[in-house]
Amino acid sequence: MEIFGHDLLNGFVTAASPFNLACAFLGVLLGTLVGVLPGIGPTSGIAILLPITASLGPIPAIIMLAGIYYGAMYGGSTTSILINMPGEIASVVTAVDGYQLAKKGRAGPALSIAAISSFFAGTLSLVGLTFFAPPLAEVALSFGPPEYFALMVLALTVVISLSGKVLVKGVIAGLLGFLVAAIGTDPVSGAFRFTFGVPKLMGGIDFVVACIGLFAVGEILVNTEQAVKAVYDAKLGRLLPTVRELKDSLGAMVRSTVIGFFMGLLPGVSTGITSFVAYDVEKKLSKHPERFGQGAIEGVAAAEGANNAATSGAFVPLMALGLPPGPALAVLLGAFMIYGLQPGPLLFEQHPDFAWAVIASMYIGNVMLLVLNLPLVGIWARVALLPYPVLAGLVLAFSFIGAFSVRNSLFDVWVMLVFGAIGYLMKKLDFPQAPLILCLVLAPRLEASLYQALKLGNGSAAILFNRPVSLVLMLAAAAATVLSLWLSKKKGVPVGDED
Amino acid sequence: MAKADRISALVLFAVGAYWLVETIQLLRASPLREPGENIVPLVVSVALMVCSVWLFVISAPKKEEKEGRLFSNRARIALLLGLMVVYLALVPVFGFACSTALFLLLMLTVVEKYSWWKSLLLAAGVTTSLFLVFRLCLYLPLPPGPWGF
Repeated sequence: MEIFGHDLLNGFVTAASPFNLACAFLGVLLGTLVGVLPGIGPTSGIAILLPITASLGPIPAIIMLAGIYYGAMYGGSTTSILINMPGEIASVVTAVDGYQLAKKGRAGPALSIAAISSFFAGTLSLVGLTFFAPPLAEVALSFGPPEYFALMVLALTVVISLSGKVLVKGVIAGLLGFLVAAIGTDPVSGAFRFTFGVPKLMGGIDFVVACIGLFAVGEILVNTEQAVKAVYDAKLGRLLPTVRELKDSLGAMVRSTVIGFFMGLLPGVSTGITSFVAYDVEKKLSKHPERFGQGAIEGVAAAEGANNAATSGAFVPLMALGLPPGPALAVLLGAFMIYGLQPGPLLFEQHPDFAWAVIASMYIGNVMLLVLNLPLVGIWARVALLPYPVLAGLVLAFSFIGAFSVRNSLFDVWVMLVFGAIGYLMKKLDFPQAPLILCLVLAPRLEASLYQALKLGNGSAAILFNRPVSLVLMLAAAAATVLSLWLSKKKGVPVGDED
Repeated sequence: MAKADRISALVLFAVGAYWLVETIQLLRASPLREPGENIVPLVVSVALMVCSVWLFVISAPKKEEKEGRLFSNRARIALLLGLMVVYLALVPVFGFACSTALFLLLMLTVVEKYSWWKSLLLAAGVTTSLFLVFRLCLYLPLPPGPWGF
C-alpha cells in the first residue's frame, strides 16, 4: 500500500507538471495519429521520434514515447471501423464487427464504445501494472548474470517460437539480429569486429536506424508496390452509445481487460492475437454468437479492451525485468538506455521518480486519449483521407530526419535505406521482423551476461544449469522450443509479428 | 515462394559462412582469450548456416503447386529505391531542404503520377513545414546546402 501513499503520488506530482503534461499530450496525440494512419505503426513512430526527443530529458521523453505506444492502440480503431482498414495490426479484429456497424449507420456508437472500452481496459490494467511490476522487480533483484542470461534466452525463444508462419524463418530473423548486433565493438575485449574495413561501422549499427529502416521504409516499399490509395466514405451517425449498448459491452470490457493484461505480460504475444482471443471468448460466451461478424458491439468492446490492456501489461516485464515483449517496447527499452537508465529490477530502487512518473503519466494519458478520441473522432476519420502517396513522402522525410539525428551522420541514413530494403524483402518472403529487432536490442546484454556468467563459473557453462532459477528458465526455454517445433509440425501458429 | 525461399536460404548460408570465417579469424588473432569472447557470433553463424539448410530442405517446390509472382510491381519499387539512392547522394551537395523537395517532387510525379503543379505545391509545402519545425523550432542540425540551408 506504501506505493500508493508515496511513490505513485510523487509520480503524479511529477507527471502533472505543465511540461510533462504537454509531452504526454503530444505523445498521445502523435500516437493516435500513428494509429489512424495506415502504413506507419507505433514501432516506426517511436523510432523516428526517439532521436528528436533526445534533448527533452529522460522523464518527458519517455512519457512522450510511451504515449505514442499506447495512443496508437486507441487511434487504430478509427480506420478499422470507418473504412475497414486497420491503422495497425492490433485493430484488425476491431474491423470485423466495427465495419459492419459502420455499414449499418452505427459508426458513431461503435467508435464511442471502442474509445470507452480502450479507456476502461487501459486504466484498469495500469492498476495491474502498478501492483505487479514492483514485486516482480524485487524478485528479480536476486538474479545474477546466469539467471539474466537464462531469462533472456527464454524470452527470445518464446518470441521466435511465436513469430511468423514458418518457425525456421523466425529463428533466422533472430539470428540476423544477433549478427547485426555483433557489428562494432566486442563487449568482452573492447576490440573492433565485423567492421569490413568501414571505419563508420566501428560504432556499430544503431538499433533506432535499423528500426526506422525495417518498419517505416520497408512498409512504404511494400505499400508502394501495392499502390495503396486511401478511401473514406462512411457516415458517423449518432456518436454516443445507448444505455443498452453500454450494458451489452460492459462484460466484454471486464473480461477483455483481464485477458489482455495477462497475455500482454508474455513475450512475443502480439496485441493482434490478444484481441483475437478476447473476441473469441466473447463469441463463445454470447447467447447469440451468430451476431458476431455481423455487427456485434460487444465484439468491438472486446477487441479494443484487450489490445489496450495488453499494452499496459507489456510494461510489466519491460520495467521490472528489462525485457521488452514486442518490437515497439524494444525501441522504448533502447530509449531508456540512451538516457542511462537500465530497465529492470533496479529501476524502481534507483530511479523511483522516473518509474512512477512514467506510470502516473499513463493514467493521465488515458484520460487525454478519451477526450481526444470521443469528441474529435470525426477529425481523426478525416485524417485518414490523406492520400497515401503524400503520407509516404512525409514518412520518408521523417525517417531521414530520425535516422540522421541519431548521430548527425548521413551514413546512418544510408544504413536505414539498406534496412528498408531488407525489411521489404523480409515482408515479401514472410520473415517476421519482431525477432530481428528484439535480438538486436537484447544481444549486447545477452552477450555481456553470458560472459559474466562464464567468468563466475571459471569458464564452465555448467553454471547456467547449476543454479535453480537459471536451470528452471533454461528448461522452460527448451520446453518452449520443443512445443513450437511440435506446433509447427501440426499447424503454423503465427501470433507474434507486429509493428 | 518456394523458389524465393531456396534463393534466400543460399544467400543466408553464404552470410553465415562469411561470419563464421570472420569469427574464426578474430579468435585466432586474440592472444589472451577470455571465456565467452566472441562465442555468441561463433554460435550464431553456425546456427544460421544450419537454419539455412533447414529452410532449403523444407522449401522444396511441390509438383502440383504453381507459383504466383512474388514481386508484383518491380518497376515501381525499383523506381522508388533508385530515387531514394539519388536523394541521399544529393543531400551532401544540395543540403536537406532542396534535396528533399526535389525527391518529393519526383516521387509524386514519376512514381505516383501526380500532376506537376500539385506535386510542386506538395513538395514545397511539406519541405518548408519540416524545415520550419525541425530546423528552426527544434534546432536539429540538418545537412545544409551551399546556400546555408
